[in-house]
Amino acid sequence: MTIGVCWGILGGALPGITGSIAMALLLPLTFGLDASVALMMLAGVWAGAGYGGSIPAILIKTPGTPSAAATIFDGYELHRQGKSGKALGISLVTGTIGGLVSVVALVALLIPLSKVTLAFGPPEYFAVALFGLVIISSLSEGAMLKGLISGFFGLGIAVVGVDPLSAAQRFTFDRLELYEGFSLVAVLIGLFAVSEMLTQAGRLYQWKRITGEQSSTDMPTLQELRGVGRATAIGSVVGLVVGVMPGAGATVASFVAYNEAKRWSKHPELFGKGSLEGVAAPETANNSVQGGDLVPALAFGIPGSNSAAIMLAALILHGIRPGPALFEKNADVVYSLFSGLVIVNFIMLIVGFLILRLCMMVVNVPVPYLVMGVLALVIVGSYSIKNSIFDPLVTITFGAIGYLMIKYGFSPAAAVLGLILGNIVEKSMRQSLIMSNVGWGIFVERPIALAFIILSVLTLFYPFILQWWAKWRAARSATLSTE
Amino acid sequence: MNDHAGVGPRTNIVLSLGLLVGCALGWLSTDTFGASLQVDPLGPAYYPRFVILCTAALSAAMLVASIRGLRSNAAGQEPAPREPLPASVAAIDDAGTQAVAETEETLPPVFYPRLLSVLALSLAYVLLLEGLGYFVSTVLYIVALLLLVRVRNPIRIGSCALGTPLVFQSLFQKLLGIPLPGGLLDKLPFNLPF
Repeated sequence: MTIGVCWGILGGALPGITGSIAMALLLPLTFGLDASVALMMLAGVWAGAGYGGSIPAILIKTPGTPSAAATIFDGYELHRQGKSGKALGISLVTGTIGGLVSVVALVALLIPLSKVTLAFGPPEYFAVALFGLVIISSLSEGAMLKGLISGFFGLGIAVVGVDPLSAAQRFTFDRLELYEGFSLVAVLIGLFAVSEMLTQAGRLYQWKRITGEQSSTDMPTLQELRGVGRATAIGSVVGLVVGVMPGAGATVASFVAYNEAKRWSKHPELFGKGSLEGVAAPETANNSVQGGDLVPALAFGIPGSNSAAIMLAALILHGIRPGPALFEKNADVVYSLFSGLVIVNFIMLIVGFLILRLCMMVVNVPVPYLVMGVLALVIVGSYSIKNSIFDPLVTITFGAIGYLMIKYGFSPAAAVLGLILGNIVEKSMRQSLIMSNVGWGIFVERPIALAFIILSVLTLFYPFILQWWAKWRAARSATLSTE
Repeated sequence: MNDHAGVGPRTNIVLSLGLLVGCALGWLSTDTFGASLQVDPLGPAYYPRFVILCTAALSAAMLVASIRGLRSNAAGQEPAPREPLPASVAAIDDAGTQAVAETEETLPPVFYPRLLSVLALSLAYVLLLEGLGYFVSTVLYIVALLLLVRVRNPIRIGSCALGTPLVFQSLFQKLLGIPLPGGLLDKLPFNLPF
């Protein structure tokens, strides 16, 4: 399990190597192991990757895994303020808490959660994706129009490729490499990491810590850990619920958790400027997804994510058939997995603290070497996705696009969210309209879908409602005082 | 942190018009996507057009808002001042060392020739990656990149140029089993340890 966790942290920290790739690379090594041991090793990789992705996200604005993209908003800001240790520490501790909560929920609520899985159909997925899109507006305060345009740009990028229903080529320009569309990892690394490195190369500056602030290797205090309790709780719940929905994934969970933590925070104005809650929420969510992901996998044999699919593959390789009969015929394996999931989270906590000081060495690297190292890393990371130079070209191109987006006030983060949600939005919308014979009423006839649509409308207009309310109260106070 | 600090209404008007032209071109491209099928009454072009329409509507809204902003400025209202950036920035001086400024009101100006050179160099590196091989192309890339970002110490340049591809190649190829192109090194009559 320790080997699995270390491997997962390494894989998660390397851009281009996601958690599922790290698991897949280790899968052949599990052939000779007992089924329970194999599953626990893979669970360790899964958990480790969840934390590993946040390390480069915080230190060099390069998400190691797509699910760490939301951690950049506040994690990288904390790093620039000289609080890298706090950001990494919060990420580690809250990630562990998220993982543990998801295991407890998995054990206690497997049957009811499996019913939730069945309740979600295409209209519900569309409504949830719409809710996710609305979050885009909250990611770009003060520039909502540009934020929404960025989000739709992301949706547009997701359109590129072969249409899954009719096999029509859309914006592929007859390039074979574009048949599957743009790689999410390549675009993500470009929009975040390469754009930042281009900015650094253009100016060659480095943020220095303001005199008197704490050393950047300081870990979060107990008070700070208590302070992110609400965000951690929100991240746990969001991760679990989103994880239960097959196909939604840790990336969606982390963005939704970030938004909800901001909404319910006592200091929402600090989000995006180095808020510890802004790190806690997405990191908790992307680890608590693990338990939810396993619900459809164990209950129905339907993997909700690539990582869950690899866990199922490991079961099948050991002659164990996943599905409803799993608990009757191989209960020992299942309960070993549950206990293993608890242990790997504690191992991740210990290993994470041990390697933290090592990671902090990046903090004081002079800018020229940082630019060199990051660019070399992201190019080889992008190349490793499909062993093709196309993905590094995509990364660099989107790096230039990301630079221009930042320069002219658009939001690369919103574009990334649009790209992530694009396939879910299109697939669920088209499936729903086919089911209803092109009747849009289907989205309001189903209660869960309707609830999310109402939530989306409220979220979109919430700032305007607040403003109107504040003006009304001010006018009323002025009237009362003159009387 | 945002380096754009203060995009004016004129720039936003140009951006809006550019986006609208892009949307128009995108819409015309969707004509080639094919017709709908019996099993798919919406067709492959429905959703892309939905996205394009929404983007066009938002761009039009941005255009209107920018024109109104321009008129407000023309009527004598002062545009928002460029925000001074925090005093927590140290600029690298021409010697390539980290300057420690006591006070710094703004970031150093962007040196676009260097930025564009880094971009062009990175593109060239990727295009030569498979031909020259990972190790050789990375060595050349790092040497050129460090010279571009004003590193002049030959020992540091040499160690980074040789050490970085060695480390990454070991990590990706040996540890993770992801093959990287050998290129020129594959043509050598003997095998290298990495």
